[in-house]
Amino acid sequence: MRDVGDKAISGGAEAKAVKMLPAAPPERWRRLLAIRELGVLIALIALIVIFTFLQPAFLTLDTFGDILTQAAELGVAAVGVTFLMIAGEFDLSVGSTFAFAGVLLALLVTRFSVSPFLAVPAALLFAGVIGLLNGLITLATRIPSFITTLGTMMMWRGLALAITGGWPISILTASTLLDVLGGRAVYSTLRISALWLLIVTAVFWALLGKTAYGNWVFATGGKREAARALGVPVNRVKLINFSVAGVLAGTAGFLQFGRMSSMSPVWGDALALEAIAAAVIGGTSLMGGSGTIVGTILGAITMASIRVGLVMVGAPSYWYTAFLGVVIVLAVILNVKLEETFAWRR
Amino acid sequence: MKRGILVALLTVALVGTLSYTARLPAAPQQLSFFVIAHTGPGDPFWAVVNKGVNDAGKVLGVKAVFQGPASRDIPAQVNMARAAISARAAGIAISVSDPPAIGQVIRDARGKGIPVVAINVQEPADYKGEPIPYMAYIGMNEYEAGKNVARYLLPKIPQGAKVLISMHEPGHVGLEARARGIREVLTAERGAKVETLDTTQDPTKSLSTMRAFLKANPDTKALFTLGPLGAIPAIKMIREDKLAGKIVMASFDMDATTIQAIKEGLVEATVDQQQYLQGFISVVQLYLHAKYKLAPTDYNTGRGLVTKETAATVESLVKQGYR
Repeated sequence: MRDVGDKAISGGAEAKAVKMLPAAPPERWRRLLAIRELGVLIALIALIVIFTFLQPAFLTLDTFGDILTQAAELGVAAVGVTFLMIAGEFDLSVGSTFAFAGVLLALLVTRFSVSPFLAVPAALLFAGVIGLLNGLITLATRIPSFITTLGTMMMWRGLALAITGGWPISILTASTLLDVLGGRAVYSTLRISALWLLIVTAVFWALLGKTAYGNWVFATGGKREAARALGVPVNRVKLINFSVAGVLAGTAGFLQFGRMSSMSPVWGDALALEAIAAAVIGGTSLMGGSGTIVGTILGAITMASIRVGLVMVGAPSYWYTAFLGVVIVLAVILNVKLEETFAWRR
Repeated sequence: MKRGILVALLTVALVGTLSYTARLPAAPQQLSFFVIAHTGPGDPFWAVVNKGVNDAGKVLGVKAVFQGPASRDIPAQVNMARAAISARAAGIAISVSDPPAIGQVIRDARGKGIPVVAINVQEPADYKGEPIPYMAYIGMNEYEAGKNVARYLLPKIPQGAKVLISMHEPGHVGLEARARGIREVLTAERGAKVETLDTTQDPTKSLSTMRAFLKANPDTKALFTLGPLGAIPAIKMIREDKLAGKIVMASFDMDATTIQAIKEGLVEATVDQQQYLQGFISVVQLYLHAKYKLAPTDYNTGRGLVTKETAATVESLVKQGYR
C-alpha cells in the first residue's frame, strides 16, 4: 500500500527521493508510519476495543458478518467514488444511480421477465452511461462536477420514483439471481456481497497501484497541467472514472436488491455523502491526487461498526447520526495530523 | 344598418347567455362533486381513491370527479381546486397537503358557500396559521391507528416485555404519531419497555441495526415497523434468524412483501389506510350535506387491519383496485 501512496504524490517517478529527507525516523518506523491507511486503522481498532469492552458480544463473527454486509454495499459504491475523487471529480448522483439501476434490474426481471443474463449487463451498462453522461456534461460545459451531479442526482431519483410510483419492487419466490447478488449466507451472517466487495477491492486496488492507468488517475487529480504535459489523456481518464463510479454504484444497488429481495426507489439516498465520508475517513483527499482503495474500504467498515456498535452498547438511538458525524470529523483530523507530523511521507 | 343588426344580435346573445348561466346554480341538473389530491391517479395509492370517488358517483347518481397532478405538485392542486370553485361544485374534498396554500383555497370555497371536507392529510395539530375551515376529516388518524394495532397484538405480548419499534424516518410527523400510539398502549396495558430505534431508510443498515439490538436485548418479544421501508428488512431478519414464534411483528401499509409475510404467519397484522373510503365516503358526506344539510363528520379510515385470515382476500381486492 505504501507504494500506492508514494506514487500518488510523486507520480511514481521519484519514489526514492523520499529517503533523502533528513527528518525521517528509523527505517522500521518509517515503514509503519508511511501506511496511508494508518489513521483509519487506528480509529477502527480503537472503536472495536471500546465497543468490545462495553459489550463483549460485539467481538463475534456474527456481528462482523453484519458489519461487513453493511460495509459491502457502501464499500462497492465508495470504491467508485474514491477512484473518481483521486482524479479530482465528485459524483453526488451515485445514490440515485444505485436506486435507478436497481429498480431497472428489478423491473426487467419481474415485469418484463428478461433473463438475468441479459438484464444484469443491460442495467450495469445503463449505470455506466449515467456516469459517462455526468462526465460529458461536466467536461463539455466546464461546470464543477459537484453541480452537474447534484442535478443528475435529483433527475435519476425522480425518474426512479416516477417509473415505480414510489413502491418497492419485490421478488417473492426463491431466485438464483438474488442468491448470487448477495442473498445467501456464506457462513453465519457473512454474505455473498462480502465476496463481491473483496473482488471489487482487489481489482481496483491493482488497477490503481499496479498499472500505468493508476498513475494516470493520480496525475489527473494532482497537477493537471503537468499531467497534460506528460501526455496523460486527462479528459479520457475522467470520463472513464465517471463511468466506473456509475457502474460500481449500480453494482451496489444490485447487492442491496439481492440482499432484500426488493428494490425501493428511495433506497441509497444517503449513499453519496456516506461514500465520500468513507473515502475521506480512509485518507482520500478532497482535492484529488491522493487516496487509496483499502483506506476507503476500512472507512466503510468503520462507519458500519459505529452503527452496529452503538446499538449493541445501548446508546440512545436518535443520537447515532450525531455520533457518526463526530467520528468522521475526528478521523479526518487524525489523518491530517498524521500527514503533517510525518510530512516526509510526501 | 348592417352594423345595427349585428350589435342587436350580439346583445341578445350576451343577455341570453348571462341569464342562462345565472339560472344554473338555482336549478342544477346534476350535483357535481370534486375530490382534489396533491398526486394523481397514476400513483397506485391514489388510483384506489379515484375508484372510490367514481363508485360513489355511480351509486348516488351524481357527477363525482377525482383530480390530481401527475406527481406531487401543490400549485397544480391549488389551480384544480380554483377550477372546481369556478365550476360551482356542490362540494369539494381536498387533501391538506400544504396548510397555508390549501387553507386559503378552502377559505375561498367556504366564502362562496361551497362545503369542503379534508381527506388523507389534515391540518397538523401544531399548525400555527389561521385555522382551516374544512367541515370534517376523512382519512387515517396515525396516532389512533398506532393504538389500534398495538391493542390487536396485546394478547401476544407478556407483562413487562421488551418491545422494539423500527423508526425508518425519525422526525416524520406521521410516523412519530404511529409510534406514540403504540408506545402508549403497550406501556399502559403491559408495562412494556418500548425502545424506538432509528433504523434509517437503508434496508441493510436497518437489518443490522435491528439484529444488533436483538443481540443486546435477546428478551425482545415484539417488533413494530411503521411502513414497507421498515417491514422489508424486518421480515428478512425474521426469516433468516428464524424468529417466527419468538417475536411477534406488526406493520403499517401494504406492499407485496408484507402481505406475503402475513400469509406465511411471519407478521401478525398490518394497518390498512383503506384509502378507498377517503374517496367514497367524502363524496357520500358531501352529497348528504348538499341534499339534506347533514353535517359531515370525521371518519378514521385507518381502522383496517390485514391479518392472516384476510390477507388472501385483501390481496385479490388490491388487484381489483379496492385496497
